[in-house]
Amino acid sequence: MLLVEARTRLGDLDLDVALSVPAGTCLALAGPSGAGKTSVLRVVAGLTRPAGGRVSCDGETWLDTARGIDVPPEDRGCGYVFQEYALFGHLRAWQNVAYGLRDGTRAQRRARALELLDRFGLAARADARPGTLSGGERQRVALARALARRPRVLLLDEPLSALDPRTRAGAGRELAGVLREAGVPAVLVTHDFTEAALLGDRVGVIDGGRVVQEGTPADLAAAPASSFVADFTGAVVLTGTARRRPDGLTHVALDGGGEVVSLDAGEGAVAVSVYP
Amino acid sequence: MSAGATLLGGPAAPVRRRVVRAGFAPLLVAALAALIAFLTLPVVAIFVDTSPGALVSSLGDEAVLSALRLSLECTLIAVTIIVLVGTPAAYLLATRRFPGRTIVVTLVELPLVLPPAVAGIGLLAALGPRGLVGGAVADAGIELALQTAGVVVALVFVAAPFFVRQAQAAFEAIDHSWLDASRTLGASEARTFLRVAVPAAAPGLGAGLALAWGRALGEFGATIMFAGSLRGVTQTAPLAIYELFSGDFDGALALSAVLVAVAAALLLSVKLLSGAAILGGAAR
Amino acid sequence: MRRRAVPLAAALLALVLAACGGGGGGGDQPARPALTVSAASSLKDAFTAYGRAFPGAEVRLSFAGSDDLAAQIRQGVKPDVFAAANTKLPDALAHEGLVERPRVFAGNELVIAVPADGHGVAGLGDLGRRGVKLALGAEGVPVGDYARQVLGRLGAAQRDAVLANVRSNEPDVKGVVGKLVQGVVDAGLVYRTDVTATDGRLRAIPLPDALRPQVAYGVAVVRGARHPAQARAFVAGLIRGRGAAELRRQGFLPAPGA
Repeated sequence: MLLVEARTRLGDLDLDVALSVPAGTCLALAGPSGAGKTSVLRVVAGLTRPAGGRVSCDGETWLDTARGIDVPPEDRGCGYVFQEYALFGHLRAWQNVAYGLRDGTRAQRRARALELLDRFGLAARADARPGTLSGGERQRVALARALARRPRVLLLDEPLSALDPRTRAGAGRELAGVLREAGVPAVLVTHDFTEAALLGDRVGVIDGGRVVQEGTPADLAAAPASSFVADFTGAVVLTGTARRRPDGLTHVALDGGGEVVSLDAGEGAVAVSVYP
Repeated sequence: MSAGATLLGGPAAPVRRRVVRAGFAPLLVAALAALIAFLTLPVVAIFVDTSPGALVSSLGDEAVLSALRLSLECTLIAVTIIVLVGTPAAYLLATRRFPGRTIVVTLVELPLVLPPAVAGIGLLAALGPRGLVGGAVADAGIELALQTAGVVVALVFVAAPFFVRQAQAAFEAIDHSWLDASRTLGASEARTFLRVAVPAAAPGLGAGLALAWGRALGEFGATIMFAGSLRGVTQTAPLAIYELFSGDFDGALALSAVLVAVAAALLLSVKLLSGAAILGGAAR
Repeated sequence: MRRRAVPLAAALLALVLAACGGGGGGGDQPARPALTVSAASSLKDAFTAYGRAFPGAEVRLSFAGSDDLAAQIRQGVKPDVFAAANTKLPDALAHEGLVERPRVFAGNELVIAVPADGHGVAGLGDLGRRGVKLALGAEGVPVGDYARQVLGRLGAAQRDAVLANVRSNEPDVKGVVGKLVQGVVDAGLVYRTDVTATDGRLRAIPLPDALRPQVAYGVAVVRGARHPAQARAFVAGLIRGRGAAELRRQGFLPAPGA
């Protein structure tokens, strides 16, 4: 179980979040750019130190500002897949994967790296430099690198957005499998609700440094807590005036003309989300 | 397109712009050609004027040989010190924001704009027998002025900023997420520095090394002021050239030619080495 | 071989000079020729004062070791006047046809200079003592050659002991003075006028009469000078006139044998 509480000011943003992610599940944080999604990952990884907060994983405290605890990133054991992947350009693919491995001889580390690359179908590209890899290959090398150290938490920053649409669907399915298999808490960040719904067991919609709503993808789509969430989940949001009719349905006269009917109760000025 | 032309006030504007553009490229070429001609002419003249006989006989001259040997030794020690101290310092400047950083960067760069003579005076005023900390240095049993060690001190002083500036720029150019990635992969800051930052910045570090080495090889003013000129002890190649200049112009030319060749070879080999690092490394 | 490179360099230099001159030489000033004088470092103060007062031209002074200035003239640099701290260099240049007949215009005294607060050296006998640090002019520089003349008159053992104490062979006399003023060395052989010019920071110890070399300054108008008439007037003033007066005021001796 990963527990995160963080309050801090980052430039124009007031970050204030509290999250808990059970092992074997993926929390997808979705929101517009500048909402503070990446900052949450950085706080978990220890790359950003918040003014106040706590981070713990399986009962081990990584950060507790009140008690002055701040475990450095290298001792936290987070597998972090960066946006654009951050592969080391001066190292070959297998050396990138083996970078985090400390035990064994060089030959043993290489064997372990090749094993991981093979799992992602990249054994043939082991000696390639990142610059010569395709976007999809780079994403898989980055995943293999993050998994190589058997991380205690997986952090993924926009893992699919650098891919072209054709590779994205396949990579998404593959990633979902990896997350299930890893069996550790995972936090994934994306600006795309569809991606969040596909990969996250639960989705947190984040805006202006706060999680405005959290739930299963279905919960969020069915009952968005605000027009922002509704809008973000991909619904068309319309405004109008609601009136309860004797038939038990709520009729909303839309401001732009026309009428919609809903099972939800409501009265007066309302916003209506419609999934096209 | 037509709307743009209308806004610019008719067809005259695009036409004039094209004329300017047509005249600009030759201007650039002419400027570069003039620059190259001016910068290479003295070097060419040195080689044209040096007779092969004078070259050979100067290489047999004990004064010339000892000056060259001393130059190589002193510059080698100086650039080693510069690289060992300058690389971590440049890394700090490139990766951290702290109050007064701009001032620190300016202080590091200051020797770049100091005339070498001022550097020499400054070193004497600081480390000379009557200098600011000269007494403490002498008490520690270290003698710098008029000593070979003083030559190294002068070289480090004038050449270090050339390396540190370049190294700082090279470290700043590294994708910061590489450093973050290294940390999350279990590498300490020190290991990240050695395994990611330095290799990734290698081409820039190499270029800085070449510049600093070249500057050190050519150092004259600060050396003669602080370390003096004594054959085999403090008389580096540039000082020997200056001494030969009045009595034996051909000898001075020959030694100049040798120095140019050595400097060019150093520059080239460092460039080739760091070039290999570029090819072998980040083809991003 | 050299022929080919020089005209090219000269052309480029002329271009640069023309560019500089175009900006500086305003037309509204009365045509006052610029007289270029290359002079030995030790003449700095005297010539600066004389140059400022010289009526015939605007005097531009260039100071360095006499041997370096002579080498420049051999390489084709043409000042109007060349003044050296010996007679050997002007004589040699005259022999090569590069300058007109040289004149001897002043003398000087070679002395042992020590920092005013220095205690280590009281006379010539101390120069060879173990641990004493010396700076001399380099060989070929007049002040260095005079110093070696002095050492040449010592016994071989003493001469070798003194030479072993030399820590720097400076390219001109000002370099020796600088090392002394900074206390980097304990003693050096320079001209008395250089010691006077330090305003008490250095002290002069006279050399024994038998060892004292004759220091004579030679001056010549450079052949092909741009302003030969003014150059001759400048030289004349050094021998009898404002220049000579200024030299005496700075402590230079009358020309030996004049």
